[in-house]
Amino acid sequence: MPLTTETTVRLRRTPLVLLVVFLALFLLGVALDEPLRVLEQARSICLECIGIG
Amino acid sequence: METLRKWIQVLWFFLTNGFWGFPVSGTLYQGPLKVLCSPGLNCYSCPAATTFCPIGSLQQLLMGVRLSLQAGQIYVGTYVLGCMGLLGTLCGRFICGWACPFGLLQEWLHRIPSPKYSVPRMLRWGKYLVLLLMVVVLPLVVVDSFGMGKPWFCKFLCPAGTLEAGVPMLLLSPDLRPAAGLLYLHKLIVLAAVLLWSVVSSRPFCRTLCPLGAFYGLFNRFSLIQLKFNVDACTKCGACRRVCPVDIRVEQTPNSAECIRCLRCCTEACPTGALTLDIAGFGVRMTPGAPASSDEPMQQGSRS
Repeated sequence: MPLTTETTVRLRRTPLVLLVVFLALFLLGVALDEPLRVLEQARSICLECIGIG
Repeated sequence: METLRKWIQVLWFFLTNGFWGFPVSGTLYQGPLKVLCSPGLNCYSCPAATTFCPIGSLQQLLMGVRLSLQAGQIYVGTYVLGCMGLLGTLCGRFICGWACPFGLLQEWLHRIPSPKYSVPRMLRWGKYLVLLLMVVVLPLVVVDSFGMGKPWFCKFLCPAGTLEAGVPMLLLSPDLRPAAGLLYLHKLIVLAAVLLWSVVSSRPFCRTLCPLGAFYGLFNRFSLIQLKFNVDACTKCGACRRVCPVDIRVEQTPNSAECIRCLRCCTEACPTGALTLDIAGFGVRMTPGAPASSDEPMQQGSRS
């Protein structure tokens, strides 16, 4: 069934493309020192976020 | 399998909330693990939290994007979005079913004996609106005179944050209690409404309001974890639909964006093995008689 084969190939290729794209975003974030900013935020209480203040 | 899933959910709860020294320290976990992304919705202001919440962090970065760019720092959320996208591509909403503490809580509440009601299907679109508006657009666009936005989802809606952080922090820190006003009351009402709704409906927050579930749902058709439906083996008995906690027509859309991959349809319901789990192209036998190979003709969900 050619249709089934085409569908299978497309669906198997898509996650690989997505993995590459998001891995690139992840690495770009690391290169820009974003994890340090995230760590700084996560170590402090966001009062506004939890409904206080 | 359902027992195993429950234990794995509990394990993830403790992995993402592993700091139990907070009653002594009186503050949050401050260690380096907080650079890791929590797969499920888990507030990082929770005193026990050991990871960051992807939705909370994304909002924080987006609402402060103007100030960081003015300071020459390009913090636009690429790291957080990368983490979320990698998790989504690998697992899709499998995370919702197996690793989200707030999902586990809703499941436990739903076991309380009471009349049960379905969730209207059109409400599922609510979570995409929440993701788009409250997590992305409003924090970016509505800013104060300094150029700083607000964490709209965390501030006005997130019941997980109220339960895991708002209530415990007020109990831990008497100094904060005078600051709890109308906003705190509003959040308590939202939390109470979601918890009560969870008693009478199955996972209502996940299905109608959760922006993280909405994000992961976009990946269900493409993630490495998939459900496969063998149309030839199906007897149309409807057992899969009856056990589904999120009311999916499994035989029509096995990879629906609503599916939380609890796998009850595969492991408890389907008597003929028409539904199988596919992990990165490898078929996994879930019931006796289910096809183990992914080479057999299968029909996959075509739309969410």
